[in-house]
Amino acid sequence: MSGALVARGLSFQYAAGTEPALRDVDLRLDPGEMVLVAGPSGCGKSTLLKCLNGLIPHSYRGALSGSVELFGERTDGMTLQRISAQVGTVLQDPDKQLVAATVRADIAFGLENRGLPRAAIRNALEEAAAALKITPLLERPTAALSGGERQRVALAGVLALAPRIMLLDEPLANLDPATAMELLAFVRARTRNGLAVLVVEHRVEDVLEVSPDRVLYMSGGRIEYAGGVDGFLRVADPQAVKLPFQAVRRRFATATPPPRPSPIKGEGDSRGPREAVPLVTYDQVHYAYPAGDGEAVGGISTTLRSPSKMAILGPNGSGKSTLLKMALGLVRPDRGTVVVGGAPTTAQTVAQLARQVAYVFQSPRQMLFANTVREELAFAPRNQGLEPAQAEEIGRQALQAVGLDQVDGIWDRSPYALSFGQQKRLAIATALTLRPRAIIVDEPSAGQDYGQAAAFLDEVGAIPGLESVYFITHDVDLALLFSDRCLLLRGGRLEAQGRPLEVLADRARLAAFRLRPTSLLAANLAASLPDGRPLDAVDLALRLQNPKTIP
Amino acid sequence: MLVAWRYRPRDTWVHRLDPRVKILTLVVPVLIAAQVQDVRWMLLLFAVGIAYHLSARIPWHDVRRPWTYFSVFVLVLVSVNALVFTGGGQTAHSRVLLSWPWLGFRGGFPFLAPHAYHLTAAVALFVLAQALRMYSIAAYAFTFPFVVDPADYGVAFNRLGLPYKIAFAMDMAFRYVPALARELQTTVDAQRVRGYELDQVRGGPIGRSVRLAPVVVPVVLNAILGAEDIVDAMDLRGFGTGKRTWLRQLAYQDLDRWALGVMALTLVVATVADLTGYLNPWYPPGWR
Amino acid sequence: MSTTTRTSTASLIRETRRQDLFRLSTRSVVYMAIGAALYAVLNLITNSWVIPGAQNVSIRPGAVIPIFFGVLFGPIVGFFTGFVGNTISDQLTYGIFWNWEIGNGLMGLIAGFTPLVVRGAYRRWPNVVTAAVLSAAGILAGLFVAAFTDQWLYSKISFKAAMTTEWFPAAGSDLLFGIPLLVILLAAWSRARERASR
Repeated sequence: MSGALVARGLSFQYAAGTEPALRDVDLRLDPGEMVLVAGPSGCGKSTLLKCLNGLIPHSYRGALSGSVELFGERTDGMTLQRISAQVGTVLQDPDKQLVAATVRADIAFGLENRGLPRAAIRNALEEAAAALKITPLLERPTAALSGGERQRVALAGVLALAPRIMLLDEPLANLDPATAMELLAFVRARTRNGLAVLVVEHRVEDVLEVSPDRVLYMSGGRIEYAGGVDGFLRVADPQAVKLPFQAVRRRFATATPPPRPSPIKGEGDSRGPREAVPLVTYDQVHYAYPAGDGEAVGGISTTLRSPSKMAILGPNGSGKSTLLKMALGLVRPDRGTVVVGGAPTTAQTVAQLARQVAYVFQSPRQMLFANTVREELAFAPRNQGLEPAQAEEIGRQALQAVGLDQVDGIWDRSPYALSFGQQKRLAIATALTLRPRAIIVDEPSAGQDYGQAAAFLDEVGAIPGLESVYFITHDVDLALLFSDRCLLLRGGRLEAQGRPLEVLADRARLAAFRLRPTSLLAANLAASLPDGRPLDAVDLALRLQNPKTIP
Repeated sequence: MLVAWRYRPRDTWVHRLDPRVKILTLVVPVLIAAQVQDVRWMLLLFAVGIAYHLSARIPWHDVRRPWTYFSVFVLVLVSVNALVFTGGGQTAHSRVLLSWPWLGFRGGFPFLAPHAYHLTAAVALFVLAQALRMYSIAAYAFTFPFVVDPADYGVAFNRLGLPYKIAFAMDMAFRYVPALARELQTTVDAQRVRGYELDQVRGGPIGRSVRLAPVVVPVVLNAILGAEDIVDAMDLRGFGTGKRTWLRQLAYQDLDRWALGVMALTLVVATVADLTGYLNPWYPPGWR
Repeated sequence: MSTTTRTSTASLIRETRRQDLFRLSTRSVVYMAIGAALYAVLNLITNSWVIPGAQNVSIRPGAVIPIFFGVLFGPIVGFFTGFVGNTISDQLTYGIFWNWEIGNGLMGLIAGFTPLVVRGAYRRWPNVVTAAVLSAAGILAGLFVAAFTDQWLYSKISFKAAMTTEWFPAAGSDLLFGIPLLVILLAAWSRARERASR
């Protein structure tokens, strides 16, 4: 029997690419089956998805070989329309997937494009909305939805088209963990009615909770493993994809660990020679956005100390960014005061505040504008009125601090010609040119997988001369491993603060925050190491394996 | 949300009109008013326009600003016309209503000169009709944003004959305004952190526009580069491959038929009257 | 159909591009929507929500949007960007006056002829100059139509008055802000393209 979706010997190289993104991939997906495609960023899993849903070769140019069959029929002769009648795709960023102004109009979009009669459209859209429990949202503008609501609407828009195969591209990337699990469970339940599901994801731990039938593990454009979950857990690289802690532990019970770079986390730094002193002090601050509903920040008092590493943790829309923007004067509180470096923010300009606490926004592309890296780095110093020579020297040091000085001809490259990871580092470098004591990093995991985000925080934490890093995240493990102090926010209120293991120990609290206790958190809590310092999966596995190891 | 549309659902006959009719209220009254020069008829059109505007029951504080700015604009235009350009070049001989001998205006450099100024009846009536005409048209223009749901643009223009892809692009444009406003705000914030202030953008005109690059470049390039994913999303849901249905259905009601009939009839009558000279300037007895 | 048998790859690419400029692909629909939304948003930049105090400076960064989108994506996208973008910002501030919306559309339409006469990317100065000249022509012509119809339909002022009170100020500020920003954006765009995957 032919499967729902079968790929044979699939290879693809983008027209602008220098090497194949996909090499000789075979795949089979049967009705009623859920298959997980795992692998780090750049392993080719997104390209595979584009070959399966027809975007390659219909929208992307390049060299394609091999074949894809949909219920026994080759897709190379089919139009995108015919393929998409059977194959529904939920893209990574739901914001890009929602194209209409209201929820109702967006769910109807695909049905309207098929030219169905209105009654049929109405039925299908209402059914999809009911299945995803978003009927009350139908008349809402898409722009006013929360992240989780957006993902549901995106899913409903695909579900309404009644596809027999569903492809999910990193559905967890933009969601808080609890919402992500609900969606996965929803899709999993649909496989019982014969839906075939392919999930591309690097947050493997979460997907495994809904027990996929099979796993494909990809690396360098090839399929390295195809088969059951157990076998996958034996071969996958725990530093490339996020595996459950128990799997990591089993791996190191039987094998010697791979050589690793020196231990991460600047444990010494955080308890450095200097006593941490208050840098930013919030006193009963309140803020409501002009057209928003309710207060984004509702009476928070806390202190950001320096030197320290701090995680500001909370679900989407909990007021994390708003609170930290107040330290820069980008948001002026309606009530209450924020004191930075001994003076209230109202008495300082944004530029003055940034020289104490700089802010690095989620996407580097929201700020890069100059012709060359040189000009980009000179921008802030020149705005301060420094001479060109001084500005260049400051820029040189900043570039060195983020390790970009090693890149060939970097000074005269356009910031737009850099890779995303390099752009993120350049954004940090521009913040460093302000010579701040601390920097705020908004969502280090935006646009990066877990491994990349962890490596990034590692590097930022090791920048010489930078006392403190405050980062905003909804990733429990990042907060656990990269902070010595953690603020937990929800609905504009500060619900808890303290050392990460203490703050995160309360399961009921985590559930209320739509954060799920990860296996790593559970393992760290269970291990209750003497020095109380959480360890990452590999270190912890090694430590448990051999208690004398000091990672 | 940073951008709030002005549309508010309300139960008035103006709101109940079909969006296509509302779009025509921006066109037909202009074509009628453009033909009227008789100040008495202009007064009637003005009254109708204001009546329409008031029927929509828009709270005054929402429209105060546009009306105020518009009034300043009309005042400037009317004064300049009356004083400098003699009412669009009125040369008809008519009674002088007002005059002063010492200082007058000229229609060219240096604009002011020592000669007598006379305000003639022709000029006065011209500028009065001009002000009334502009107000009567603005009454429809200012009402429109408050009574048309942005979600109706696409389907309305599609039913007025625009290809559906372009009509859908209209809907999409409205959808992306709040998102891009947020992007713009983020970029402005990110550059402020680096010591850049928009309200300190100074220098000559060219220098000033160059100083805007830190805001304009990231916002524009990001929006265009991000468009690729949106294209994928639309292709994958079958956009542009065949005949399309709009879920939102428009159907003319009796009210719409009446409105269309009145507009059509008035336009025809006005055009005939204009061609036969019935709408030319009118003078009160003795002002000629 | 061309009768020449030897057609270079470059001209083939150019041929497809020309067709694309008039074909309404999904991509052009998305660029239309994004262009119009950007124009509306940048027109509102001096409103208080962006930054307190900015309404006191006379800046008009939005002027670049319809011409830039025209130059990159052709006359249809250019016209739509100007027309719908200005309609939306008018919808958010004052009222809608169709002749000004059309005038703004014409700016993008005329700038949109650039890809029909220019070969290759905007990295060579002659191409950038062509884009700037056509854009300037678009601004002058588009706003001339708006001011002229204003005179003809609403205000009945003399031609000269319409030009001095409406055309010169509007076209002047659009030229001063639009053209330099166009050159900057074209430079940034051609570099950003180096990494694009399609």
